[in-house]
Amino acid sequence: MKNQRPAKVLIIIPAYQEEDNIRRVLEDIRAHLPEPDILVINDGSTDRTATRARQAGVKVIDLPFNLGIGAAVQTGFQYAAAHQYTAAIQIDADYQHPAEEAPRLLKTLEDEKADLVIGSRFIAPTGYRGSWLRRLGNLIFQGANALIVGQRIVDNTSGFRAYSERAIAILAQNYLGEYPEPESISYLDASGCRLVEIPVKMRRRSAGSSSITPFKSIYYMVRVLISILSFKKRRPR
Amino acid sequence: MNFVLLKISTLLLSLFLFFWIFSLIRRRRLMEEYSFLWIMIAGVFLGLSFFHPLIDRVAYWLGIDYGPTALFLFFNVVTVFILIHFSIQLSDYKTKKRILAQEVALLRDRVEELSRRTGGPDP
Repeated sequence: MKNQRPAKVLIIIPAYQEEDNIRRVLEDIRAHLPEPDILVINDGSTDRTATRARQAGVKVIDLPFNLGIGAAVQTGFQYAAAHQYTAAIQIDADYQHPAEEAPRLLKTLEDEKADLVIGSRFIAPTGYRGSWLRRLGNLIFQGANALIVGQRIVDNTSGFRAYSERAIAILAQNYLGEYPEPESISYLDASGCRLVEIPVKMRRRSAGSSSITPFKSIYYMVRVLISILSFKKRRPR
Repeated sequence: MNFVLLKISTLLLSLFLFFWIFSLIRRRRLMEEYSFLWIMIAGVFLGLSFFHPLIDRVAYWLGIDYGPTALFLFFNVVTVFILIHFSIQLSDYKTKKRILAQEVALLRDRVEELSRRTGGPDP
């Protein structure tokens, strides 16, 4: 295999208007993952997200205006690919993903020679339920992705993930829409990547608000569904 | 029945469209690429205001009893196609905008990194 270079891991944190959360997210990560480099992609926040991240001493890349989570994460992959990282972990900036679970994502990535490890809320009882709308959405994505992937992925919307060097290269080159989580699963699978899902604990959101409000959820589901079902026609861009 | 009033109002409308579009081009608010489309549409308006029998004939072929309904149908179809065309262009611009923004962000980081390494001015 090609992974003979020493592992070099990048933690990618897409952040938009998270000044209330970013500091404790970074502290949490530092406490449990002292080794990897941390990259915050500031997605055009107008609050003090970027300032607070810089004060915490991590690398920050500022997008000139808000592009959405999909483009923000892709920018992270582009950075990781350009700087020869061998793996990446994606953690949301809203403090819902406990960093203590991240080393397991990374270990699974190595042990199972996987390209994408998804931290799943639903595989085992972990205390997280989410709104009924979110669960419905997940059910729909499960169905859509099952059609294409041929492997049951339970938590298609989880943004708590680890990526291999190969997945990084693919996702750096291909933009998978404004809400990329469900689609990246079918896309990586179609690219011959190995996907693994493991149960993780997640926290409830306490400060700030989710970028996906209940009102927008149905719109979001339909959009992602269209995106998943038509992904084969997409040219890399 | 005499359609004089209708003819005059259609004529005035198409003349207004022409003048508006030309003034937009003159002030460089509209690129020629788009002005062509709108001048064509103004031209169709102008033509139709003079050739009413044509509308009635086409309506008859389509099985539409009332001539102006065919006219509405025609413009609605044209409008839908124009809107789809603009949606395609908008998608294209959004893609290019995203790529530019990402490249600017990554390049800015690179510049800062280089100037730190060479001891240049801190941006």
